[in-house]
Amino acid sequence: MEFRIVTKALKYIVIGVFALWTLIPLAWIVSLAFKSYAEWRVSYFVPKNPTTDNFVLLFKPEELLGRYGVMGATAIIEPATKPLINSLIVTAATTFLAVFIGFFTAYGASRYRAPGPFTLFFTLLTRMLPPAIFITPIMVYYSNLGLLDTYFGLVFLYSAVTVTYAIWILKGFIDAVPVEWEEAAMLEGATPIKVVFKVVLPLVRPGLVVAGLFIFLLTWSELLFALVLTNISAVTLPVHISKYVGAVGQLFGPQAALALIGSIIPVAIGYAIQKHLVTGFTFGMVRG
Amino acid sequence: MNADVVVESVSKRFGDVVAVDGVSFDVYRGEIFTLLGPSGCGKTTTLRIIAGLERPDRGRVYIGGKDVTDLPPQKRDVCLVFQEYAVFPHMSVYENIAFGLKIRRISPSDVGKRVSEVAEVLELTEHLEKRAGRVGLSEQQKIALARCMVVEPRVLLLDEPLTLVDARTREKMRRELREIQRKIGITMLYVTHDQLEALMLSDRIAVMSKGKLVQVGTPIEIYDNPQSLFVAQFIGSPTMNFIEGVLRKYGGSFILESGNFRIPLDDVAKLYNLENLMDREVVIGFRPEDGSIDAKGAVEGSVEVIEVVGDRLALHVRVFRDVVLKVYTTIYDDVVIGSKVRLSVNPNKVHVFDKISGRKPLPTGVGHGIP
Repeated sequence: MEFRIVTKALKYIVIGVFALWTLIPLAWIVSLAFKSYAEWRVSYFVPKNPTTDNFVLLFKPEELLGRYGVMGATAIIEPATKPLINSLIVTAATTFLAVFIGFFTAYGASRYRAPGPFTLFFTLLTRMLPPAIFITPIMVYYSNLGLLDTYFGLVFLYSAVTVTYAIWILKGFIDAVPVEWEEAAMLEGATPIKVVFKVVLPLVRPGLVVAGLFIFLLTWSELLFALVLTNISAVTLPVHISKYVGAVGQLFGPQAALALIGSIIPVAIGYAIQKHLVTGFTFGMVRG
Repeated sequence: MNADVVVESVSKRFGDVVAVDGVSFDVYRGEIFTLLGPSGCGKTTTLRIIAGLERPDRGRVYIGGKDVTDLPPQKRDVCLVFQEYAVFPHMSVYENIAFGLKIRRISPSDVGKRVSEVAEVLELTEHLEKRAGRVGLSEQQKIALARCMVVEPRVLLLDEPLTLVDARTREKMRRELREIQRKIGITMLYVTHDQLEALMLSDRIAVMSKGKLVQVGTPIEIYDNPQSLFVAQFIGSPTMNFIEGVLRKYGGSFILESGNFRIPLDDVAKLYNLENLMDREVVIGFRPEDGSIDAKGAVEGSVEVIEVVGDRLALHVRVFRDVVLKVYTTIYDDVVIGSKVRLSVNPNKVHVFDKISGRKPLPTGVGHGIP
């Protein structure tokens, strides 16, 4: 009995430590977001004079400039609304496109024999190279093609590199759908395309949700590509955050405030699709 | 008679394996035609070729007089009930049955009418609102059948649909299947490895072995007059008695010789043309119910095992070193284990096969139970 209490206590301690470990950065951001300039570089958590200035200034760039000055060419001249909207558009389009293409690729790979065992593995290759290696040539191409600083350019690259995840996640889900279900549907009069939409797609919905969320999170927080490929009109949230530098140095307060706003959206989405997420992660284990 | 399905010298190989080897047969309108054979004999592949799920390497398939060899499954006017994974678990029973009709863009009121009609016939009405994954296995098979029935195909294909349901339900569903088939008069092509099921259910049976069709006939023909050693061995429960030996002729009489053991075959020789098998290894076979204890019988043996089968006794009689024959007798016969008995066999029911080819010699023209 006593032993059980001890193990239980140990369990909670271990879980608590891990929870703390992962939550400290978040807590620090929350703390910073409500601190005034004087407190940015001090080490206590709870701000002495909590303020919402950091949030307000995000949407009033002139006032921000006036207060913290200009540092080089990275001056903030736009309110944070635009990058927020940009990020939403780019991430949503990327997620949809990657999952859509990934689903059909995975279906093909699952149901028909790909030429050689290496073909599917090959799709992982783009993820094995450090992105820094190929971002420079891509920037040159984009510059020639006029794709720099456009939604299309970003979505195109993002979906190309994330479609791999969609393929691999969804292939597992499609493999678990017995081919007999498709054959039965076909014999009852469904064309191959109807079989995919009426039988396979509904059955792998949890997989679509998992793949979609994963890709959404990756794209939402991507910095490197966006930093290189955007400048003014297609700037995404992470890039915009990195631009908060004034004459006084890094503007931790507004950066934290915007990071906080930016993290609310994925958290909200994750919460909304929680139910599907659980079925998604346990799919394949429950099939008898 | 009208042939609903014509299979014309169809062959299919998977890599080095020849799954189906020059198979031809006709299925007539309104009959239950069964492909019977052990697993791996090519029966399911043949069915899948007819359904359009596999392409034959050679040969043609006609359904309703139309060459469908190059048509996709959904244009063949057939439907297939699978052994397993018969229902879509993410839909209700109603949606499952309605699937084929909705695909065809049939008006919702007609869909409802058709579904409830079919559900009525199959006694599924009370389950219609349930999730298809939640009902029992035999209900799932019924749903699969219902899904095929609503689209009213010309030919209903069934691939071992009763293998996974429990024994009692299986027997019940076998009977129901037969009744439903009679009621709606649909042509059914049934695949099974269960010879009892085939004998009970079918109008005609095609026995397959190693990708080839070895015999087609009514259940009685298949049971009573197997044309090859394979069919003789495969059909019947308990199996036939078999005695191997060499066919000899001494002074005008035919004898099966196996070491010192000899069985006169003169009565059998009247029915078959045995001259071609002379001095060759042959197998003779007869069913337990065609043998009996007879004081004037040709072979003698001692009783080894006695099984009580209802009002009969099944005797296992060792007549030679490794030859044990099974015969039936009444419970009133006075036998105990170790009794010496003589056996005789109805000569009309003795089958002779060439051991190497497995073939049966030609009949001499005298009736041999061939209807």
